[in-house]
Amino acid sequence: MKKIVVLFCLFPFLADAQGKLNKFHVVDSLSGKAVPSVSVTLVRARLSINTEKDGIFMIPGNLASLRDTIILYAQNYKPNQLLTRQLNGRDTLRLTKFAIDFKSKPAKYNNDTLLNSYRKQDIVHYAGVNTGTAKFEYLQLAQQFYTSKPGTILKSIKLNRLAFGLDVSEYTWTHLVHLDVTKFRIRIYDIDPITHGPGRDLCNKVIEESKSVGSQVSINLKKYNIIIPNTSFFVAIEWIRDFYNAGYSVAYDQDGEITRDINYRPALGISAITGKALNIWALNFNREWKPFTYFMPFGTDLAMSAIIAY
Amino acid sequence: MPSLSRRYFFISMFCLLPSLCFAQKVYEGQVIDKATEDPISNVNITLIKEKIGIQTNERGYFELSSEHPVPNDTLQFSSVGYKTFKLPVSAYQSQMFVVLEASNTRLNEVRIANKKKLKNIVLDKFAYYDLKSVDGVSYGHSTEIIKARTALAKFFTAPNANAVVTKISLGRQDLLTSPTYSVRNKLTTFLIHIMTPDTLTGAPGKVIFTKTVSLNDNSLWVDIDLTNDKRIIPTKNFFVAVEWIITPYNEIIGVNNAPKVAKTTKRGYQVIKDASEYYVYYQPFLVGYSPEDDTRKRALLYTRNNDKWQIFRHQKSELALSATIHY
Repeated sequence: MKKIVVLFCLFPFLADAQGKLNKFHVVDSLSGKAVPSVSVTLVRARLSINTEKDGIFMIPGNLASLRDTIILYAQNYKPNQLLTRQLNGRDTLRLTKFAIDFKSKPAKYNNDTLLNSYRKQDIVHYAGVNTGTAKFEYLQLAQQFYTSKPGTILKSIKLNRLAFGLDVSEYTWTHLVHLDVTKFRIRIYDIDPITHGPGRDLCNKVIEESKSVGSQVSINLKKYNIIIPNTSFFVAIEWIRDFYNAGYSVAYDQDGEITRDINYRPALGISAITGKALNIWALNFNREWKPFTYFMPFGTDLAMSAIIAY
Repeated sequence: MPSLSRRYFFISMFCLLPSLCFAQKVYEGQVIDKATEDPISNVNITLIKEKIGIQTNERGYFELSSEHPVPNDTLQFSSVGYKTFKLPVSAYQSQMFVVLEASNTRLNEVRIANKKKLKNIVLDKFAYYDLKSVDGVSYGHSTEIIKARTALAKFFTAPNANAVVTKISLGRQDLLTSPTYSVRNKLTTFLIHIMTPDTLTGAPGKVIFTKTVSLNDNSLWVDIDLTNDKRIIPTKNFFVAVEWIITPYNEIIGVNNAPKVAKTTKRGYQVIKDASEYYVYYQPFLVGYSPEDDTRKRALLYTRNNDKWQIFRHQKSELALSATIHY
């Protein structure tokens, strides 16, 4: 019941137009088991949600008359792109796993290096909120890192996000703290040789930060043994656009008109240090990686640092 | 909900324990001349025991980060021509104004009398203690945030026409007094216009001067020097307008608690959960204050909506915006 309500919230205009609910199960093509947290995007409608653990989602309306493209995607699975009318009469959608070999040689790494250091008290801007100038219609934001040589290991990352009522010295506890809890996933990508943006996954394990409360999040990645094959890599935050993370955003546009939208946590801090080049990439609803120019020319990097060893 | 709140209370307190023990501390504020109430630049601020220091910028603003706080340390403020002032860190208040008194050894300023005996006066003068309580004493004043979506213009009357505007001063709200905003004032760019009244409506009319103002610190008192602009106002009455620029650079996020429907029961009842509702605002946040003389008539304010100026009717207090003129 909970999921039905969530999807009604997300597709309000469709729900108004058509009363019919179309329910789908997303399952693994081999095992037949439900795939959790599948990203479901309606490209033309510019809507995207994640399924809960049961892999179920619903679309209200007459599918035969809808003209849109739906993209289903989950980590380690091949994206499945369909026309909405192709969903008509179906109740199960199958995702096929990638065949990935992540075997790497165990090795000793001694020298730690901190990449993209930032001061958390200098953070002013946050990405991930619909504003008066643009809606945040992205599935992931990635920070590009550079290493001095290939073959390093990624040990940990640290990032800062918007969290009210915490980390402000005079107000260590307020009634608003519980509004900031969130969960999100971490993705590690190699550099794509053609686009120079995020390419193939460098870790096939699901790394999920759940029930995060504070503004500073440190994640130890040692156990994943993530080897960086080139001299550049990306660490991305993948939004889980589900009921748990759903809140609202209210903004005034250029004409002073007020808009209220659903907004998914977290909002990520932008480093106050302006770099020589833009190092933030965004994955849009079409699943294309593009440079994230919203905070240019001053916001070139996320408030995200990484420790590598070589 | 009470059980949920209690749970997060303990989680958050647990998370805060390390930071309470070894917290980095940031001291910031503005240093003001006691006599002139002007900000003082190049004041040396030192944490005596930790042996770190910094100087104030052109707005008298300082931000000193104590990476390794020493118990019972003291902040020392010193500058040539002023008595040194020491403040125990235990007495420090966030975003405070520090007032320095001139020393006896201070050189007297050389004043060159103008043959025409021109005068400088501040119209709608406000004081630093109108913006924020000093040493915990609020002087019975209260402040409020004043902001408009597009622009806000304040009406001034000079003694004569053809006066020269030499300085605009404005106050910014200390956002730390509210934990519901994402950041402090910090970065902002906005426009200042000087306008003559429309001869028919009396509302802001022709723009005779515009200046872009960029700030990169948390200073609450902002002086905008127009001495070199030599801008003559042809009329006795005029407006000073602040225009907000709607860009990501000026964004600041506030939060509200909003309900979201968790589920609907078979009987149609909705189970509600709390959700964050982010409000996107644009800096600067101006200050409205209650003058000591509360019977003083509030200056007329106009706001611009759809390119039309209308009287701003939400005003309970005086906008901290003054104009220094030379006539």
